[in-house]
Formats: sequence, structure tokens, C-alpha cells
Amino acid sequence: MTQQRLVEPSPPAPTPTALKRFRPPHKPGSRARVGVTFVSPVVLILLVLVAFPTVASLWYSFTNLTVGGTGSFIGFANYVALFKSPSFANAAANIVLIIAASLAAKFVLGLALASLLNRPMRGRKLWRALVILPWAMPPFVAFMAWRLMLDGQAGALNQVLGWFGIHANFLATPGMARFSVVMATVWAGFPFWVIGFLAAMQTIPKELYEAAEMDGATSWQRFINVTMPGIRSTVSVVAVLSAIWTTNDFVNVWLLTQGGPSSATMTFPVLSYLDLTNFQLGSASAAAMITLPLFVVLVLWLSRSGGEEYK
Amino acid sequence: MLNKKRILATATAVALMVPLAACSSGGLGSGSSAVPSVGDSANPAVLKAAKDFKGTFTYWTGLTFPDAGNKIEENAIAQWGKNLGISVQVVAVNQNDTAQRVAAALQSGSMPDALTIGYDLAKVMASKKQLAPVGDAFDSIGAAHDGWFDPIKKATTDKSWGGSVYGVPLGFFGNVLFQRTDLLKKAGFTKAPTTWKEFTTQATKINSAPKLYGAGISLGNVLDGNEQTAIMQSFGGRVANNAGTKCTLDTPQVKNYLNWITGLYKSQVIPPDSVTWNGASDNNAYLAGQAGFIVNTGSVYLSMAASDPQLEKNTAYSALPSGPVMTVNPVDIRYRVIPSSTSSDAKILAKNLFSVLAGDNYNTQYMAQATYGPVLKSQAAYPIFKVPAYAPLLTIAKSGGTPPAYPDVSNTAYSAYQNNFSTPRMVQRVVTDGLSIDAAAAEAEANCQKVYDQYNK
Amino acid sequence: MNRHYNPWVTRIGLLLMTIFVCFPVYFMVVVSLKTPLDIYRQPSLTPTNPTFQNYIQLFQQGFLHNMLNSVIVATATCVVSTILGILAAYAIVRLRFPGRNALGKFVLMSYLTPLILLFIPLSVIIQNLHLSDTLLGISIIYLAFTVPLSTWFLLGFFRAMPPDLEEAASLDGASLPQILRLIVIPMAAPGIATSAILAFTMSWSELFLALVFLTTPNSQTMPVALQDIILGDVQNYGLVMAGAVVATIPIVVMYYFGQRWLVQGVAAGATKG
Repeated sequence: MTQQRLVEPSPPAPTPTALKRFRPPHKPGSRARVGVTFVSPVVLILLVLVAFPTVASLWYSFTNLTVGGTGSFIGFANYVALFKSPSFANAAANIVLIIAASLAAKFVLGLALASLLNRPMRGRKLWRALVILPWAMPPFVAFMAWRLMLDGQAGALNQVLGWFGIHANFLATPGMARFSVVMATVWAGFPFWVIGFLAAMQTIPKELYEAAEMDGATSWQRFINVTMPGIRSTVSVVAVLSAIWTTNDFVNVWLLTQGGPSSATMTFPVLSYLDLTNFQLGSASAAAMITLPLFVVLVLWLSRSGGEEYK
Repeated sequence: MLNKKRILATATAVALMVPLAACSSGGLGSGSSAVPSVGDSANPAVLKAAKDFKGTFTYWTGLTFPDAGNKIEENAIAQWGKNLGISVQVVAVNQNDTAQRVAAALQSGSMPDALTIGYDLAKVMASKKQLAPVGDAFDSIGAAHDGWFDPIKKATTDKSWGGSVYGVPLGFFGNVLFQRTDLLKKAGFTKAPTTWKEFTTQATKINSAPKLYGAGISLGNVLDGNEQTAIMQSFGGRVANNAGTKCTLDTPQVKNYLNWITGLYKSQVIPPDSVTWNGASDNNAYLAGQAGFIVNTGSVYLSMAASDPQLEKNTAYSALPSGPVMTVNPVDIRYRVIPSSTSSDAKILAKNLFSVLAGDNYNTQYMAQATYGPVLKSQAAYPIFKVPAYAPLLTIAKSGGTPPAYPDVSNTAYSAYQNNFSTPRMVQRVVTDGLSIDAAAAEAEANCQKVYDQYNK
Repeated sequence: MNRHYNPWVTRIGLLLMTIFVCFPVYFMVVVSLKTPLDIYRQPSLTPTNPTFQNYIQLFQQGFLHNMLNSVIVATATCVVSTILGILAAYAIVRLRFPGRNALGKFVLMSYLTPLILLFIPLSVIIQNLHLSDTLLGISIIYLAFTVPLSTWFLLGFFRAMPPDLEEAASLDGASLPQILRLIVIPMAAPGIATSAILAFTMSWSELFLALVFLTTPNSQTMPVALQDIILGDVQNYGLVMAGAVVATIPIVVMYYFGQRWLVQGVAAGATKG
């Protein structure tokens, strides 16, 4: 529910052999003991606050539990009902559509702005601080602001369009509503990509650029031949993380369209939430669980492709 | 926004009720049999309860639109506590969040001694034995103020409550048709529409989309969108049969309604924004001068009176039009209730508080600053109900108003149908997704039946 | 090298970026300075009859108290999760103990688990701890997402940190706490600062769990208060946007001063490897 922050950890780095040789100052046994002591609070927290609730939710999804009532095991009935519901097709299509469109837009924007901010300029730090702004804002504030931006009467975008004699109903037709959700999602999320790309670009040795320049490469050629290969691994990590979080995001759709009109912008988190409002805990859990396989696949892929770092 | 929060509230309530379900009926149902007569503070039973009462008496008020109204209520309760010599805490709760607050409080055992809640929540809580009966207070307060208005009395004493009265009504939200007289006059209309047919004629005539939409009606998944159920019922449509078990949406009456409403949408008399979830198509559009008609319970009037007197001057108010088959104008009653967890002393005090807050001097002031319709017959004389925007609420209370769900059977399944925003969703299937009216009605009936089956096992 | 970059491309690019980033924020500020009447009747891109009335009303409603609650909760979760994150991440990277690889994966999984899954069972937990409606309770709940965040972020950071200095210190006979305090933490400062800022922001912004768990006005955090501002079904966007601006300012200030670490913190991990 909370918009999770997309965080770029330090991108994969070659593990120096020194690391493997290094032993902190304790005997092997005590080192392991200290290690276990150090991690135990985190393990406890994760077990109680993350693992247990996940398992509980999984269990709920196989029951017909309702609020104020008791539930019993009903097998896959919630999932079957979900597949049959009219919103399911929209929610499934929107996973692909909203994610693909917003990832593509974030990629282009992120790359363009990272390249821009990597240029020599006065006050670079200030510009970098500025670009982080949409991402730094509390997400619900950002999407409330967008709701207002898209408003039919008081909205800023329609005032601008009005200069050209156009009026757009940003949230009223399925196509426009999807477009609006993607637009706001991109705005609130692209700075993460900029930061990730900037970090990756700074790891590219200057010599490579200099060599390319010597060969008379244009800036576009330098970009294609030096920058792109240098940031490839970062792109995949950033994209997977971003995909996972866009799948799980709730605030964006909820504050803009609540999944409407009809179910044009429905997503699984919103579907789950709507079930909750109808007191159907079982089917709400099923709607939340439905993306779990996708999630596991993405995480596993991240572990594999992300190299040593994510294993 | 209103509805977003309401849904949030419900959802969070749901989340919180899980543990309740697990360990149900713990300390509930401690019904006090010592029933005091409700009177002024000098009543010995009340004075004794005040003396015996320990701790702080907590009341959760429901926030109404203007802050002045909230202050009046808060001060009145504080004064009442002072008179009785007990310490009182008033917590103002956003009415959109009441359900969630209540659920959280039930869970953590921190329920107030008394509170204000809406009809639906009261019904759910009563069915779970989470409320104490207040029939004696209901009767004596009614008797002291010329009686309760009929729709209010009927709704409160209905047998669906299980034979007891669980709430003392303090007001209701009703539907008033706001209309732009300046525009209507120019188009040659001087009388408020009394039927949806007349409404259609007038709204279509003044329509000049996209600058001005004739009918600022909401078709979204929001509370305002649920007015569509009442309109559908006035067309003869019914959500379910008389037993309240089988959905009956795939009928000529419902399709007749669908034809009418989708026609208005397609001819752009209803704004395209009407299918979105916030008030873009109705309240905000009206305040922006971009809607000819809206349905509202007073909040738009107070907003206009405060900041746009010109628009207020150009606005007339009338009752919701009738359909071809009947008139449906549901009253959404707000109740003062006592949780069953409240101590017996506090119950006596709470009932006394309710009678104090039913006082006419107090309510003359309070209701002028709130968005409620009158519930007690003595309230008919209040000046506020002579104000054009509020007068229709008095009419609703006197005669036009119908109990919640009427003509359908009021049961939990019906509430769930409404919570699903099923009627506006059915309309959206036609206007947004391009389904045929036949297909939309059939689909809506099937979905409705699923809900009814869940609750009627 | 500079001459290979066309400065006009940079300038126009920066201009477009500024418009894209700032327009919604600017509009938020504009609306917050308008009267309710003007918002609907006189839509505009500049403040008409600008007034601070919305802000005054906001603080009269006790918004400051809610902000204070948010500061307490966000600070508490931020400090706890950063400390626990440092310990766990360091142990996973440097101290060999059985199951450390699995634990690393577990942290990643936890970090990416959708909160909507945890929402209902968490309410059961908080009830059993008898911590409903307390700032302590909500702080504990927030650890569900800030701890995996801090741990995972620092995990990446520590992995990329060369162990040479620690090795040298260890040869000089420094104890583990000394190494942590004198070498690891100072060296990892950008990473630690970054993860702390992120954890703080997440707790500061969180709305939905706070809505469930904080019920009385006394304990409500800023997002809940902001959500509470709209009392009726006539939306006073001016007041909401005033609240939104106030809620954003502390975060923006923090990011402005912290961005040195934020961008560098991310970059450092990559360049140091």
C-alpha cells in the first residue's frame, strides 16, 4: 500500500579476492556467533512482520473468511471466481500495459536526463537536487497534486490545452484514464532511474570516452558505443525493481481513478482493496496473491542476472 | 475524495475486524436492565450515575461540513459535562472515517461511551450485538418533541433491526435537487421538475456542453453515484425480490432506466467526468458554474453561501423528481448510539446527553450550521428549514422521504450491493465499455446474485 | 572536453526538465494560495487574489501537532532500522555464519513484498502487542518495510567496500566494535546517510497503515491529518494543497542537503568497487 521507494543499491561490483581472505578479528566459531547475534533482530523482525503475514495472507486466500465472520477452507474457489470476474482481464492487461508503458517512458526520460546531468554545467548539484524532487515528495501528495492537475474544471493541464482550444477528459475515457495513470506514475518514479543511470555512468572510465573522442566519435556515437554498454547491467536491475513496484503500487491508481472508469485502470492491488471494502477477506487475499508468481519470477531473475550482488 | 475515504475507512475497518471475528463475543452484550427515565440533569438517577461515574466520559461526534456546527456541538457536550460535574472528552471524527475508527476502537477496547454513526454502520454493529438498546431514550425524546417524523421512525424501528431500537436519530442526509434558475428562466422554465421526464426536458434545453452540462449527475463509483439506485427504483426497477434473496436487475424496468440514463450521457447532458470517482461532475461542476442541476444534501449550499453568494442567489432547491413508477427519496439517518461495552453508569449519562442534545434551543443553532435534515417534528419550526436549500429536507422528512433501501428489502446484502456501487457500475458498463443494455443488465444481475448469495446463506 | 558538448542542448534540456519537474509542484503552490471560490470559478495558472488563509487555517487545526507525531515516528523507525541494518548487513557480508546467503535473499524478498499482503495480518499482530493507536505501535509496524530497505541497501554498499582498512585495523589488534565504529561506519557514511533518508521518507509519507492504526487525533500523523482535512463532499483543494506543500517542505529540505550523499551514496558504491 505504501508506495515503496525504489532504491538502487550499489550496483554490482567485482568482489575483490581480498574480501574472501579478510577475517574480522575473532576465531571462526565466535565470528559466526557474533554474526548470528548481529542479524538476529533483523531476522526476528522479518519473520514476525513480513514472513508470518505473507503466509497468513496465503492461507486467507484459500478460505471464505469475511469480516466479523469465520471462514473455512474452500480450495481454489476464490481464484476461480477471480479469473471469471470482469475486472480480471482488465487488471491482467493493465499489469502489462501500465508497466510496459511507464517503464519505457521512465527508461527514456531517465537516460535522457542522466545524460543531460552528466554534462558539464554550472550548479550541477542543484540540478540534481531538483530532478529528485518528484521522487522525494510523499507519493500520496504527488498523486493528489496530479489529480488536481488533471481535473476537468480547475486542472492545470486543461488550462494549458485551453490555449489551443482543446479540452481533454483525462480520467473519463478508458484510453485517457490509462494514459493519465501512466503519466503521473512516470512523473513520480523517473528520478530513481536518473539516479541509477547517473551512478552507473560515473563508473564508466573516462579513458573510454577519451579514446572514442580520439577516434573522432560524435557525442551520439560515444553514447551508443561507450555509455550504453557501461550501464547495461544497471538498466536491468533498475527495470526489474521498477516493474515489481509498479505492479504492487496502489496509491497511483487509487488516488487518480480508483480503477475506473468502469474497470479500465483496474490493477490487482486495487481489486484486492475493493474486495476488502466488501468484507471479503478471502477473495481480497486471492487478488493480492495472484501476482506472487510473477513477483517470484522477477526476484529470481534479479538474483541471477544481478550477479554476485543479489544472490 | 469523500468516497475514497469512505472506502479506505471500510477497508481498514475490515482489516481490523479480523481479529474481532477470531475472538468474537468476548465482553459484548452486557445489556443493562436498569433503565433510567430520560429527563433533565436534575433526574436523580442521572445525578447518581454522574456521582458514581469514574474517569472521563468520551463522545465521538461526527464532523459536519462547516466548522461552526462542530464547535456548537462540542461546546454543548462540554457544558453538559460541567453541569453534571463529570470530565468529558469530545473527539471529532470525520464521518467518512467513522467505520474505521470504530473498528479500531473495538479492537483495542477503547470504544467511546457514546458516539454518532450512520445508518449502515449502526445496522452492522447492531447485528453483531455491539450496540446497547436505547428504545427508552428514543421514545421519551420523541414524546418530548412532538414525535419523530414518519420515515425516521419507520426506519429506526424496522424489524430488520431485530426488535430493539439501537440509535437516537440526530438528523439525516437527504437528496435535494439544486438548479440554476437564471439559466432555466432564460430557457423558459419557471417550475422545478417534478418527474425525471421533466428533468430531462429542462436539462437538455439548458445544456451547452462542454461549457455547461445540464445534468450534473454522478455515475461514478462513489456515494453520489449510488443515488442511481434510487432513481432506478423510481423507474420501477428493483435490486432484489421481496424476500431480499434473488436479484432482479435483468428486467424491462431496469433496462428502461438504463436507456434513459445512458441516453443522457451519450447526448452529453451528463458530463463525461461523471464516470470518474470524485465530485468532478456534480458538486465541483456546480460550484464552477458548469452544471445546471445537481443532487446534494446541503454542503454545496453552505459552500456557496460562504464563498459564492451570487451563485446561491441563482439557485433554487426542490425535492428529487419522481420516476414513472414511484417516488424514491432515501433518508440516510445519522444516529447517536451507545456501544454495549459502555458501563451502566455511562449508559445512563449517555441517554441523558442524547436528550439534552435533542433540545430545541440547541438544535435551532446547531442545525443551522450542519447539513442535516430534521428528524423530530418540533424541528419543523426552525428557521433553517425555511431557507430554500433546506426546506426540501423538511419536505422529505414530512412525507417524501423513504426508508433506506425502499422499495427493496433493507438487509446486509443490499448494503453490500450499494457498497459495490453496483448500479453506477452497471451504467458504466454501457457508457464506458460499450456493452449493450441487455448485456449490462444481465451481467449486473449475475454479479448482484453472487453478493446476495454470500449474505443469505 | 567541454567544447564537445553543445551548451544550448544542455540549456534547453535543463529548461524542459525544470518545466516537467516543477509544473505540478508549482500548481500545487498556486492552488494552495487561492480561495475556495477562485479555485473553481477562476481556474488560473497564477494565484488570483493570493491569500495565506489556507495555511493559517491549517495550523489552526493543529497540523503542527500531527507533523510532530510524524517526525517522532519517522525518526524512530529511521534510527532503529539503520542501526539494525548496519549490523545485519555487515554480518552478512563479513562475518561468515551458516545461512547468510539465504538470509540475503530473504531480505531482498522482504524488501519487495507488496505491503497489501501484510496489511491484514499486521493488524492482528499489533492488537496482540496491545499497541493500537500508539506512536510506538505504528513505528514497529513501519519496521516491516524500513528494515528490509536499510538492510538491503547497506548490503550492497558493504559488498562494494574494500576490506583492506578493516584488515589492517584487525592486524593492529582492533576489536570488532572498534572496527565498526572507527572504520566501517565512517567509510560507509554516504550509504548509511542515503538509507537513513530513504527510511525516514517512507515512514514520513506512509498513509494507509497509519489510517488503520492511529485512531485518536492525538496520535495521528501528518498524512492522516491531511486526509482528514476534507470534511464534506465539497472538496477544499486549497486547504489540501496547503497541507501537501507543508508536508513536502521538510522532505525537500532533507533531500537538498542530503542529495550530496544520495547521488554519491549510490555512485560511491559503484566507483569504489
